[in-house]
Amino acid sequence: MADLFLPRVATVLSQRDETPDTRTYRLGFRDGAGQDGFGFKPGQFVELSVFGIGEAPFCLASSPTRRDALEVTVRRTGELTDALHALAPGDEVGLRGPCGNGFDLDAAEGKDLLFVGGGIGLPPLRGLIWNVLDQRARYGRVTILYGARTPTDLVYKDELKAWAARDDVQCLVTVDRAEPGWEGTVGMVPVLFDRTELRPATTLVYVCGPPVMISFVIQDLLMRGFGEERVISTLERMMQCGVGKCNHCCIGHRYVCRDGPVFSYREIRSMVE
Amino acid sequence: MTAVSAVTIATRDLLAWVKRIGTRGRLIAPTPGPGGDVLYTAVSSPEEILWDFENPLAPPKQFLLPQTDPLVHIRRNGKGVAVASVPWPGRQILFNVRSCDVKAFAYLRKAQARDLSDEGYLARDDQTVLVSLACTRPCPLGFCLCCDAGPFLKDGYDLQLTPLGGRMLVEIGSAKGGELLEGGEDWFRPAAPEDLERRKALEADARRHFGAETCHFGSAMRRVSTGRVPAALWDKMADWCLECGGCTLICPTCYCFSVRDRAEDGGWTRCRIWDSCQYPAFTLEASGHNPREHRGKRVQRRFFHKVSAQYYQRDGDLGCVGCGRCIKTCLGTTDMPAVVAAIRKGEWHG
Amino acid sequence: MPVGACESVLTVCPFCAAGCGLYLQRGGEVVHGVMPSEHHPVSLGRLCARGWAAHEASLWGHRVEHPLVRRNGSLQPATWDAALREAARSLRAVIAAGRPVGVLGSGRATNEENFMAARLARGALGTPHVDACLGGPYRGVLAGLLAGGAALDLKTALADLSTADRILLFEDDLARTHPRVAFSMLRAVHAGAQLVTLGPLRTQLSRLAVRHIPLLPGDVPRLARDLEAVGRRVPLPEPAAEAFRCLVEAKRGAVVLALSAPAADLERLARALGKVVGEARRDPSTWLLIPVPARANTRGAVEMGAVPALLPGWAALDDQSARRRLRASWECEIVAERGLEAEAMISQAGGLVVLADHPPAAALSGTAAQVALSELACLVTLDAFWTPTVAASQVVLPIVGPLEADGTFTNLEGRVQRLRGAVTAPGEARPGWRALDDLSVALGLPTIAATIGDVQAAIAAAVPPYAGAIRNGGGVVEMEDISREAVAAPGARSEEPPAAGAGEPQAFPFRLTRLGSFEWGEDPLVSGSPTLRRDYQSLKRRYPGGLVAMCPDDAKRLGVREGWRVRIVSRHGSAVTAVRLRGDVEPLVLLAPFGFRDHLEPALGGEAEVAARVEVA
Repeated sequence: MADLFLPRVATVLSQRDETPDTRTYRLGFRDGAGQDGFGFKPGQFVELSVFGIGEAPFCLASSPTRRDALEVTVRRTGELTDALHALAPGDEVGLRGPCGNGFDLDAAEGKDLLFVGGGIGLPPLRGLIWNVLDQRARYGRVTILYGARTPTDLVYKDELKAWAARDDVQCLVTVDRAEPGWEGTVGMVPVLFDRTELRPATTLVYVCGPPVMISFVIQDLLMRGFGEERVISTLERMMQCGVGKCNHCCIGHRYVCRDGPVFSYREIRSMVE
Repeated sequence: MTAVSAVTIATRDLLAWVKRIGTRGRLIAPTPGPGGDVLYTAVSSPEEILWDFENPLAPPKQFLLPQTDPLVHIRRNGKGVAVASVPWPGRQILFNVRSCDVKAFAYLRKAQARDLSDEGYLARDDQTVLVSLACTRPCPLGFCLCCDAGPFLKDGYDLQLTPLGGRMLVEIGSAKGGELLEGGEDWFRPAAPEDLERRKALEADARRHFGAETCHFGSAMRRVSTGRVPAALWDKMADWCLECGGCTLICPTCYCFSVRDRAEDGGWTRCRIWDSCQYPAFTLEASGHNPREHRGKRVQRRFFHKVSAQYYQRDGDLGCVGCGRCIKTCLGTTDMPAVVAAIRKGEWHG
Repeated sequence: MPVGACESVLTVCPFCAAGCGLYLQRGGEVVHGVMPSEHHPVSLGRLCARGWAAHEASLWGHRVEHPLVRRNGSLQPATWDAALREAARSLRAVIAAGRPVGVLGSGRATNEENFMAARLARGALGTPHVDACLGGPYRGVLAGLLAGGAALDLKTALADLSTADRILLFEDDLARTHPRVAFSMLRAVHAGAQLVTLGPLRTQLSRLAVRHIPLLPGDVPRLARDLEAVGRRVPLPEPAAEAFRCLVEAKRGAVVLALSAPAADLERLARALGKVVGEARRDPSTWLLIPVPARANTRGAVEMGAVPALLPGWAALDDQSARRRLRASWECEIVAERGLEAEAMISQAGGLVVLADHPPAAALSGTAAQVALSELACLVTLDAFWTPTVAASQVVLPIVGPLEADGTFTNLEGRVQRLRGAVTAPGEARPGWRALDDLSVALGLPTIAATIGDVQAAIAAAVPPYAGAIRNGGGVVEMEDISREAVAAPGARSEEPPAAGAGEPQAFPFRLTRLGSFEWGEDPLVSGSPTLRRDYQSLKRRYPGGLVAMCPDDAKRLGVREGWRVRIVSRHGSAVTAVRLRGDVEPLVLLAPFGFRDHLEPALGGEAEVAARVEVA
């Protein structure tokens, strides 16, 4: 009956702490064929089950160009994520997906790409960033702007350094509040806009982060001349089924789990509840 | 409707026919329940079936979408975790359902089939036969006329029964319906022209007798679709709603749910359980943020899903069949006709 | 789990005192849904959100399935015989040591269970300490109304509210605590009735009222005192004057009491209201007086004898014919003295038997109550659901839950209604009345409960007003002759507190108030329901250090924002907690929702209201 609800079984291959309350999991399907056959686009998510606790949506933080494992980055916020954090390599989880629309990579070809992430908003962008970097020649300039509350709260710390070290990528990081040893920029993410060259006419911007951050970043970008259809973000809503049936994630007649979670700002503005 | 697709059966042969049908699957029909209510129940003897009754408050949607609906077995075996879909018990015949509920099943099927198709639901629907009893008399609170969902149907049923007096007209709406007549050749004869005339007259008569409960969706749809209903009006209406969720749970076209894993047999069973957009926690996120924290927004949500042009275009049907159940079960005063009238007039009684 | 509904079993909702009828939808051995009953005189085809999820706790909650006995610090499975023996032994040991033992009945338990609990107390254990949480305030309100001189009709139906033209509603938030009763309010107002609301919150119903009068716990004694002056022909101060006007100008008035306040204050207010109603010298049928008990069977628990100041059936302790009836019905000698109330029992008893309840959820200090329970040498619990009280017990006896129980509840209208079990209980659970009979037998009494019919016959014999209803499988209790002397047992005095900030208005300008008397979120019927527990669980998670609610204007003035930590200081002490902004809180009021009261205990100091100030932490 329940093909839509039937999870596949995956194993926790390894885990890595990003911050005190955030961890990245590498997951692999029991059968290798399952692994290869799991095609997805960055920006899509999976419904992850911790058996006996429940299911929750998590965006895929890995790129489809790297198929040895799927990665999700999870922050502890409640019963399910607590249970997830108690898992160890070898433990089994359920996986349904990929869900959602994902980012439109075809539309990005040849364009300059600007990634703006805040806090736990970097994971959805990370998959896209690696996808782009793995096919670097297809795209124009690549700029990554990322900020978190404190240096401890930065996710993917090593990768941020690696991106900054590349000469085909500009990666700038800021924190709201410094900690001892921090020598980088201090301030909220928009302070980074003045430290990079923005080219509204040729750039697609991808913004992910807490709702308040997304809101004022987008307003800032619009004031700097970015068109509404060139500003792309992800929307979050309470989800249950992830396949457009349970109606929890509706905004008007749009389903964040099907028509999203990736939306352009123009689409977001036109939504009627 | 041609003569070939309609037959009649003498009233005295009905029970025998129903008995025969009962061998083809689980027979579910309206029966007198405890407490004076009429309830859809699995019947073992056709004598229990009611033929003259007001549409039960409990909607028959629960026979395709149970309130607790096991979907997936998750069990530990020696090699780890094994998952398997829960099998559906099999064929069922929903007997003497009303036109509004038949239309609702068509709506539900479309909703589950669209986009990512819920094959499991469609399989259930395929295994369900709908035998509809046309309404020759409007029910006190129904407004199916306003939703093109009754009192008689042109299609959507597998069989539509109309009592003609001494005999029952049986319109065959599908192959599935036709199968129920197989082996009953002794009982059935093709409908005569006067049978069809009588059916037409009964329908016209029923339509004429609809009461005051009307629901004019047109302008309400326009306002809801363009966000032109003021938030203050939703808030005012919301003060007359006690967020019981009854309207959505009792509604034959509503199907919102949550997914939960229940511990059983040393493992778990993933279940779909009824939920309601009228509950505050329906949109409550893990962070504590709730886009529909105010009851006014939740009431607005309900009527957007039921009455908007956007959903009408998406689903091909209005999200309301005029059964009147929400009027009966509302723990406030915010039923469909009352709210639609308020949207149209821009004012609320309170 | 089998799929789809096959059979519908008519029973009563186990949540609040409205007593809506509903169908349990059974498929095989599992109840997987509910449906409202259209023809039921209370539900009339409706259910509230809790009613619609009434099946969930039994499916999803943590059930108690086997008898358990604590050995070496942890609860171990035991046979029924062993568990009963250990319970009896342990209780006897407490008595032998000269310490009090008590029995707590429950508003979640049936009449049959509460009746057998009262017998366990006054008969088997020979103790007068028997009560049910939240029963005290209900008894007190009734006592007050009677003492004031009102002719009290204990059979007032909710439907009668539709005939009222003026309604005086004392509430915490009726739309949330008793939605079915609030529905009656909505209908009455829609039909033209004028509603006046009094309570600590600007509630949904207050917005539909012609007048809302803020009434915090500290205001209740003053209002009572002012109303008592009626008849002395002095002008009444507001808001007593408004309340008085509402009462006397009505052609057919209604007073609905669903407010939380200290029991003595509620009793005093009820007495004052009773006096006004009585002195208006109108035809008693023009008055509707509706005290609203908290839970499904709070009223039944009191009427079955789970009350320290009365015998079953509202009989006075010294009522000789009641004593005779009881001795005959219970087949034993009885202790007919006045015992301790629930709060006192928890802190003073050496041994407790708790029936189907989690007392800390209703105690003034939840933490203190939980600590007291876990320190008891002898705690015996009978429950279907796992609660922290069960977890702290020495002996646990599994009993059937609301979907499995046969029995009766008495709703706020005095309607005795049959529960019908739809499925068998899991594990070794027994009906509660049988388990209590077994325990009484283990303590030396003869059995009187081979069948539920036996228990019901015993109830009919002991409480004649119940006889007809119980025999007919339901009906309205004909409680005609409750004497005011019987009910009006003197309790604590109602003191008028100093005026808010009196003497030091600048030091403590705020009124810190505990809201409500019961946290539904802590009840296993809610915490075991995936649909119902979401809101409270989310709140608990987001405010791990507790919360205090204030209105946005006050927050702005203080310079604090949502979620900020503040120190609440009173003459008792101080507590640090988080701010939550709510538009329905009055200015200069700090509300501690009942589920979060413990975090504010150092500042509240056990009071319902205290003057306080806010400091940014």
